[in-house]
Amino acid sequence: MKICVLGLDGAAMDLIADERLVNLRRLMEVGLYGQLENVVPHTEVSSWICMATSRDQDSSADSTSSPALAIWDHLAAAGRQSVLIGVPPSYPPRRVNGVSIGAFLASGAAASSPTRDFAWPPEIQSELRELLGDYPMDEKDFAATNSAASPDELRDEIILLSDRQWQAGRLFLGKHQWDYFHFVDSGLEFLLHLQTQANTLEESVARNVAADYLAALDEQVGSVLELLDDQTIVLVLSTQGTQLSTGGSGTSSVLNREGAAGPGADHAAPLGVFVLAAPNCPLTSEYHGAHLIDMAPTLLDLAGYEIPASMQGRSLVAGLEKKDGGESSAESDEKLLLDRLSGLGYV
Amino acid sequence: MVPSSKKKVIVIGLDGLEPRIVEKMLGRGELKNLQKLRASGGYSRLRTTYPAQTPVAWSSFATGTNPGGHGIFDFITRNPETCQPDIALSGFERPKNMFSPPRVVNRRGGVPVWDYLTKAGVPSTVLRCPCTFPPEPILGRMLAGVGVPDLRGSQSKGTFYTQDKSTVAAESEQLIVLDAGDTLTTRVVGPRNTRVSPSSDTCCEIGVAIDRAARKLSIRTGGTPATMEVPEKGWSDWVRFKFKFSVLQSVTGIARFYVRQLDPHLEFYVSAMNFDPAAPMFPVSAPADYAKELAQNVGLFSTLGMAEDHNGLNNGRLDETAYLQHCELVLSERERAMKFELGRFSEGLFFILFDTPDRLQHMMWRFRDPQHPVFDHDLARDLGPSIEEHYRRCDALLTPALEHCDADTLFVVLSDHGFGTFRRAFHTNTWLWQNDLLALRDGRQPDDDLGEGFTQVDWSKTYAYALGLGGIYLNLKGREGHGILEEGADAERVRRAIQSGLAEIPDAHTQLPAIRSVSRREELYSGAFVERSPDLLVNFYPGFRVSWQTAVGGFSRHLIEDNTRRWSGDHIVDPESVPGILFMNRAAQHNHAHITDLAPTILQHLGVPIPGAMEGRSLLG
Repeated sequence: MKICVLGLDGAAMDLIADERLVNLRRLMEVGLYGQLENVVPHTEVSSWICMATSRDQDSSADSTSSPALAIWDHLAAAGRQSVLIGVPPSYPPRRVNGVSIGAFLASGAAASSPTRDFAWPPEIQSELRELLGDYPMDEKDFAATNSAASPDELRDEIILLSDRQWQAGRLFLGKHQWDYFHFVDSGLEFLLHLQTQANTLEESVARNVAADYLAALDEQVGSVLELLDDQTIVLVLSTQGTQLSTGGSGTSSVLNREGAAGPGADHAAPLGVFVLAAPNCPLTSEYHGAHLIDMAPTLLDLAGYEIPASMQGRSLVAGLEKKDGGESSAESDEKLLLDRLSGLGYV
Repeated sequence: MVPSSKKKVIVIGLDGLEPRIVEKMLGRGELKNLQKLRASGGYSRLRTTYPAQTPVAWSSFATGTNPGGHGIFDFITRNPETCQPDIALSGFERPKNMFSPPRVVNRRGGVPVWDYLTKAGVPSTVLRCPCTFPPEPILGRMLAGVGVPDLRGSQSKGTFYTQDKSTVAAESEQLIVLDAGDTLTTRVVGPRNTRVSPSSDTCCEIGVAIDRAARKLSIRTGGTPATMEVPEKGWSDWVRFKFKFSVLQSVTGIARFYVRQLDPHLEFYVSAMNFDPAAPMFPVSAPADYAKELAQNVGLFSTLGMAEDHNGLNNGRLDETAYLQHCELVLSERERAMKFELGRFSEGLFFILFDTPDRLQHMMWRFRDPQHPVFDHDLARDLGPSIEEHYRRCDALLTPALEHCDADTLFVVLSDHGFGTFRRAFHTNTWLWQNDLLALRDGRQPDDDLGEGFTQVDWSKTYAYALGLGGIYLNLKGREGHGILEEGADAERVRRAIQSGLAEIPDAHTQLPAIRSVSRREELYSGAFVERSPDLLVNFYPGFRVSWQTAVGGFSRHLIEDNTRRWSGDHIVDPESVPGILFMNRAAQHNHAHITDLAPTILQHLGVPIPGAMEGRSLLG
């Protein structure tokens, strides 16, 4: 089975309770969902490392040996290919077995990737430029170019960038061979930091901005789901929610996010959320007590791989019998057709 | 007169207006607006498509092509693999994975005139054109028409409530038998929840209380508005209901109540559950939130394609008065939409279709035809004039539209086909069986009991089958799932046998021939979609039509039978017998106007080049 991970950074449970999010709701309907514990306060970057390696930050830091392997590294060892888009840390571009595209507006991207490479393998960059236009990989460049922009203009620009990133996501989802697809959208974080920066908006306004943006993201999620076959595991998650109150953030520059929430800085950040759906997943409805580091082992378990010993999390479906994924709709086609003709008048 | 220098085309469609009635009324000095139009430009009969059906003809209107160019040949099509009937207008695609929603696709192909206008930067407002569901984005606004289902996926399925325990469900309805008493709790039925196994109906609980003194029913709707009072023999306003599939998912729908009687026992009716314009299950407008905006401005409206509740009348749950009231409700909603949109229309194309004349004539024709099997002399005194009254109502609709007409406006009123009586139903499948072209299993005889969908057909000995409202398909090897007939000499023999056998076939009962001719598809159609069409098309004489059973793959022991339904008028006969009407405020530059001429006419007036794909010729010369 293939694995598709969609990261909606900054989404918290109260935000995804919105009825407009029809695609997320459909996923929740057929799958498993809940909040994600994240014991040690993390930055966005370290959170995604924890998620992908299934190791907590402290133990990662303590480790004196080589850095822990991420889920895509384990899959590569089994000959599997991955597509990673916008998964922090983005720079320098990860040399994965497959394709890796860095995030937009990463903090310190230029320093980390002096050659200004933003994707692996490098030859896909010209195609991406054609599709996406200029690739503003570094947050500082963007801030400099847009120093005169109003918060509204910045917001629109970020929405545009996010949309382009999703376009790239759909392109590689369709044309590239992959067993593991991982996409992270950080637009929500940006937008909320912008608000904080402007420092003029009420929490309720921030909440509306966030809700509107999530509604747009939900459509993007829907367009990705359309491209998947029925032998795919889907995980939508945020590593942590975002504080909606204004002021008092440790933001150091216009758009800084990767350095914004260092340990302790965002101690009150709401928990992240996850929605996991797979044809063979034996569990549905709300799940309590899931941890960020449980996600990778759960995905591997459902997809039929061994869980590597280096992973500290546990599979949420460990020991449960997987469902037969071939179930079809309860309604027969014939009944459906007759219903469609019903009431035509001419018949 | 509105001063403007921008070119405009206003097209008002009046579905099914019959030239003979219109001409007679004009001759009597009635229909003042149509008279004015005739005087300022001209009037002619409008030739229509083969077959003369609403979705086919309006798709040819939209694309300027014969049906081979747009792929809509009938209301009903079949899956060649299974030979099962299905709605031809839109397709329902099962979700390809557990994460995706089911999808609907518009099966009409070709390029409609508003797409050419969009490319040329000219805006359009297109309201209720058939075969526009789900709507595709255009420059302007679009509201889908015929083809939009109800919330249960049907074309129109209401619910009948009665305290009479002996009542059985009629066709295409839900029946709910109520307990005795004057204060009751029951439910309104929403969409099927197919996510649970076995699938079940979603419901909203409602409460009703009979108020005998005031002759009304008090309803606690469980929706919006929360309570309402509906007088006996009256329709309610729209009620918005919310149906929950689960804690996470729900959908809203809108419906109206009709109170049929309070005594001797309570009976009421709930119309088909329409998509809520504010939150439709599938998009009914483009942009998607346009339907919501329109509803905010003109009030809630039917989104259902077949909006007038003909089923309620056909099943005898509504009487003629209730049906005519419902028709008027639908018509006035659309009239409000027209006025609102014309109020902001300043450039490009404005199109609106009023379906009501078609639906009303289907049901009321029997009162003007003393030879109809269910002609009722007493009712005819009151209801005989209802069609002409409705024509006057349609003429009055044009008044506000004509006020928006200036020197730069091309103003067009048309119908897609005419109308006539439907007295006798022809069982084409029975004829095929009688002529050894279709075989039944185990020596069975054709009969109503055989059901729909050819369930008892022995495909291994069947050469042809009839399905839809006049089509006959050959059981071709390589095309049909159980095909046995080789294309070539054998197929040719079958085609010839059907053509010669059916043409001028007599109806022993009336001593009249039932069928004028049978056309081959290659004589009628050309274009990218010809392969979808029936191989042969039966052209009935007026008064005859294909039977209800044949249309959906069923049988009868008779070859020709009386049509005893209230659905008593029809137009699916030889198209030469049922032209529509065409009024323009400009003189047509050539005779023999055809419905495919309208799209190029619109383009020419708006200064947009007429593409080669359009077969019609501009009437502006």
